[in-house]
Amino acid sequence: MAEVVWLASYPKSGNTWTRALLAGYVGEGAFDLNALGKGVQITGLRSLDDLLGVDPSLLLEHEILALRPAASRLLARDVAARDLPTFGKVHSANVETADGDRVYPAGAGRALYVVRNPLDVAASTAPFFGWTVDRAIEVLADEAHVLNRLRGRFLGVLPEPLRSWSGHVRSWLDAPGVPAHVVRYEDLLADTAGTFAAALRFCGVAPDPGRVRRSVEAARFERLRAREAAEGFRERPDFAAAPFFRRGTAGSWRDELTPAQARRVVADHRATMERLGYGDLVAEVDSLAG
Amino acid sequence: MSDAPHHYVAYGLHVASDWALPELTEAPPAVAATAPDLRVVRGTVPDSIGEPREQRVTWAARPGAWRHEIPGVARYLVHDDGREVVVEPTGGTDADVRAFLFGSTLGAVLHQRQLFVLHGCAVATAHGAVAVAGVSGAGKSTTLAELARRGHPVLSDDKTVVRFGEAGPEVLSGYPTLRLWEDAVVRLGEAPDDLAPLREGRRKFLYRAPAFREEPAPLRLVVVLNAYRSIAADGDVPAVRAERLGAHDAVQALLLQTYRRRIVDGSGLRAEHFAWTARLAGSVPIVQLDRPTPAETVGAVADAVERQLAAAAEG
Repeated sequence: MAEVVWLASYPKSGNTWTRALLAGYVGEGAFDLNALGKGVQITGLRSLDDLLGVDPSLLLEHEILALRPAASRLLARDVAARDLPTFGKVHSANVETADGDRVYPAGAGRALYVVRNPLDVAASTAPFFGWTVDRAIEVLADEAHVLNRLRGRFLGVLPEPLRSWSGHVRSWLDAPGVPAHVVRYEDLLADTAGTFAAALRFCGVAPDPGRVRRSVEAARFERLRAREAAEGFRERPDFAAAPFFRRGTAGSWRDELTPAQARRVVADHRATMERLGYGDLVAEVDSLAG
Repeated sequence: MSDAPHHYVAYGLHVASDWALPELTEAPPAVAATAPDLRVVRGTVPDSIGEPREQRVTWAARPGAWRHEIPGVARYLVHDDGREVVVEPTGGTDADVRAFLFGSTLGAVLHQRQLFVLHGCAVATAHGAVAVAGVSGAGKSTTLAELARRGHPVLSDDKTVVRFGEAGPEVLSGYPTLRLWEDAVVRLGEAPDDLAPLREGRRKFLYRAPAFREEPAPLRLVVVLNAYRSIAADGDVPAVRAERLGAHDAVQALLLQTYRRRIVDGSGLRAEHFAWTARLAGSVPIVQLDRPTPAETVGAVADAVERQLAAAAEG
């Protein structure tokens, strides 16, 4: 029986990199950067249209939210007969619905939770969404933030309530009945093969070392960035003010955030940062002068 | 005869309804006096239709019955081989109830009647009818609005029914009300706030087509519209590309563009549907039109549709 694996993350935290690794693993080191959804199934508007059996553009935001737990369960049922897990890219927080269910509920899959320290997320979301760093920090603390709000034209994507960065983490890691495995972006950078192999094991796939090696090589940041420059990347939204694959490093906050900005991030997210093993960064920011 | 208060025509059917359905064309008295083909009645919809053959979150289907529920709005039952729709409002406004009546519910009616339903729109032209199909977001409604603006009478929106007449395939006349996103309404030079929203709170509107054809029209061309994300450099806008599909791809495309094909499967009509699809693919050209996004291509797409249609008419 094959399970659904929610590939869940706050935006700009390594979700696409992880999908490229998975697509490269499935494709023996080769994948189409502009068709990541083919190798690794994504959850979008068309998929929801099919699961719900009704045009989501007829539904109001709260109606979509109320129907999503059932859509997740139906997806789990639809894919159960497959050989390999089905990966669903999700930026939404795993929020509760009005009747206490979860959008990605118990018994409908597990979560590969990709996370990146919020200092770097602030540095990365700002140019991506065309925000100032201050605005990015504000959004990271906003429990009511929704990505892709419904508008007066077809969007192809669904409204995704993000919660704050800390709220996002809690919604996934504390969701009852949804097993979760944390993949830290920083660990992926430091030891891509080992971190990726552990993620595969969590998904029920016994990692083949040769395939892991080829996949890691094909999804190296410099390669992804070179391919974006050469082939373009259709998942980069029209509004993005920077290349999708921008720096691909850990710690860029040190030259992109002021000490005051870094302190605000830590003040907003201290407990969650410590929970995820970012205590060293908390201590570093605490000791910043100025 | 029917003692229902409201009588309409759509897809060649005489519809007798307990509700006012302003989206549809009123039936002339001579038609209203006949036995209806489809009854829309207010009633109680059962909690279950038994063991479904196919199921989605909001509906369940088995041969002979299809049940649809939008929580807080209404429940719908389509049965009697697509001759009756039972509607039980559960909190929705009349506009809400109609929004879903003219969505999947109407699709189930047409499928149960064993009609061939494409997910797309159609207009009539001097060269005959063209159906424009495509997935959500391909640009069907925007293309339809532009073709209508150019003076081509509308035949149908969202669900296009094709049947074989004596002279070959023809598109049935649906109903004159289009569902347009706000951006398409604005492009047509209309003020969205003058139009009725499809549902309170959504920026999608009901728009009466400026010209509507009430008779069937011979089908000359099916266009499968496909939007792809352009990755060309800035300022270098790639052209709209047209490709006539070969036999195999044409059948596959028509299967994919069938309106909610899972309803066909759930109704136990897969074999009939497949035979029908193959027959249509052998009768008219099926052309795939690729349009780049986010470029503004509505004019170029309409040009390409007109060009392909003229070519198809010349044979």
